[in-house]
Amino acid sequence: MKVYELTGIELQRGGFRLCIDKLHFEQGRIHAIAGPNGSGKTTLLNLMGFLSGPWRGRLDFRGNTVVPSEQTALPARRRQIGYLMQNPYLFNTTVRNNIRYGLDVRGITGQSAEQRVRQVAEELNLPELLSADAHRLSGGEAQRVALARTLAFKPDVLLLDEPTANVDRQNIRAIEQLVKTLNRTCGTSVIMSTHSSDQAYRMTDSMISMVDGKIAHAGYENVFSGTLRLGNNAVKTVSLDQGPRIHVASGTEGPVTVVIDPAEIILSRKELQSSALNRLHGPITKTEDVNGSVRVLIDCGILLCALVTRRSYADLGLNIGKEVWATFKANAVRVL
Amino acid sequence: MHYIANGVKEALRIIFSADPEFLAVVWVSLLVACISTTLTTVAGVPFGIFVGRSRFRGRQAVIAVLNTLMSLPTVVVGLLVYSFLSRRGPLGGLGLLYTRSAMVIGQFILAFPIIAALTVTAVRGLDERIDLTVKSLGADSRQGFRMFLHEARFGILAAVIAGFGRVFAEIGVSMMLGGNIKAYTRNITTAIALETSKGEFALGIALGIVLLAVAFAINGSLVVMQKKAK
Repeated sequence: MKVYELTGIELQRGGFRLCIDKLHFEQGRIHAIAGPNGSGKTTLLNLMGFLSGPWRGRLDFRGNTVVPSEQTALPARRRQIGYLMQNPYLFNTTVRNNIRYGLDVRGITGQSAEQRVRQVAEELNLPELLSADAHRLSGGEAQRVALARTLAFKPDVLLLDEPTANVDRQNIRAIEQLVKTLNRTCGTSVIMSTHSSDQAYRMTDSMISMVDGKIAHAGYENVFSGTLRLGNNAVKTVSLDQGPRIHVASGTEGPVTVVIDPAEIILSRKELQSSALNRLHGPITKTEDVNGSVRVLIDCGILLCALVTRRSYADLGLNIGKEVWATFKANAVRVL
Repeated sequence: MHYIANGVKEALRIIFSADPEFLAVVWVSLLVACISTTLTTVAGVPFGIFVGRSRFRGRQAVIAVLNTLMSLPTVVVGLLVYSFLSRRGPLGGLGLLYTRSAMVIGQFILAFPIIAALTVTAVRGLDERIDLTVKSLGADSRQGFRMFLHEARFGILAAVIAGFGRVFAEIGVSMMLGGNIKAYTRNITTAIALETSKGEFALGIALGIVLLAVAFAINGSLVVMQKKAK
């Protein structure tokens, strides 16, 4: 079951344009949206939180098509989701009243509301702050209160825009754990944006990345800018900014952004003789265990990320500092 | 100096003995100022919220006019309303001149720009994320507006207090439209002017102490409101 399905979406915000051909998010899973600042993560979440419009194209929420003109019905749709905005605003009242607000607008009051407030405050290490003035909290505390306010009414669908921004390391792990627990025990569908690919990998194996308002399916890693040139026999190459030149299969001449799927990169100790046109060479600078695979960072003029199985990693005897060859096809490079 | 000291002594006696004439004057001031501030709040706050939240052509001009009218001289308002309410004026038939109603009308005109302009400032000073936050939490437009009012409450209250302070301490309107009629339209400021011109300082000083106390309370409230609004 799909919780969101977007088809041919176009949304203009000032000079920025969100453009999504096809995208869907599965119910009951955690999805991460990664990408640099200004890539469109917040615009996409605002769209799915029914906060921005008008848009062109088709937006389906739980199998029902949402049309931008149904302004009066949008509050009812918003009540079906919990949306933690980036840099959230806390109301000028106590922490308790802030957390209660989402319950109040849903008609949940009295003892059951107070019980829910206490429960969510416990989960986010906030019980001592319940009577505090919300405007006197630190950035990290305010972020946790905003998250508590979003979780208080137990939404089935959770949209989180940079949920751990300004939060200290200890509480980052607590928040990540809480979101994972909610997903596991309550089946909450979570769609979160993050600029940290490490966090995205920690939370989920379902990650999309965005660049310039478009989806770059391969994940946040391996997004590079450069200049595409047409050579003899229509051979297309991209000179990456301060990096090597790589072969690509599509795109037009000029400045471009390229994305290389980490899973499409083959690692070897010696140069491979194959049909793949791109062969880069360099030492391994970092490795990380990710959901049964190993994420390997190679310094080959650019910091290239490859995803290999644990077995391949062990068989090849890879380790930090070892020299490796990274081989990938021109077709594996997506030109945006 | 001797007569000033005697005047202060006598003023304190008047205050603590609850002199009927003194109480009548304070009562008229409070009554008229409260009525005019209430009416101005009912009209000025919604107007200020509308101007502060809406985007329409001429909005900046409206704000500029309101800001300019904040320093409207009280005698000009008195003169303007007098010309309408005097027997030869267009509203002369209503017989409102030298009544408390006439004072309320004049004070309404004085306080409206203050309450409206300060409400505009309070509304424009609110965090831009409020609307989106209440929407993201599922509030409909009515619930969202209620939260907006909640967030603006200290700024709006400060506007109302400032308006009350203006009308409570004014003299031009009260003198020209009220006529300083004993036990009817004589308020603190007109009584002080009269007593001083008669050389009777004691009642004037007693009333001056009340005026200063109210001004102090108003300023204190404004400081508290401004702190809470932050």
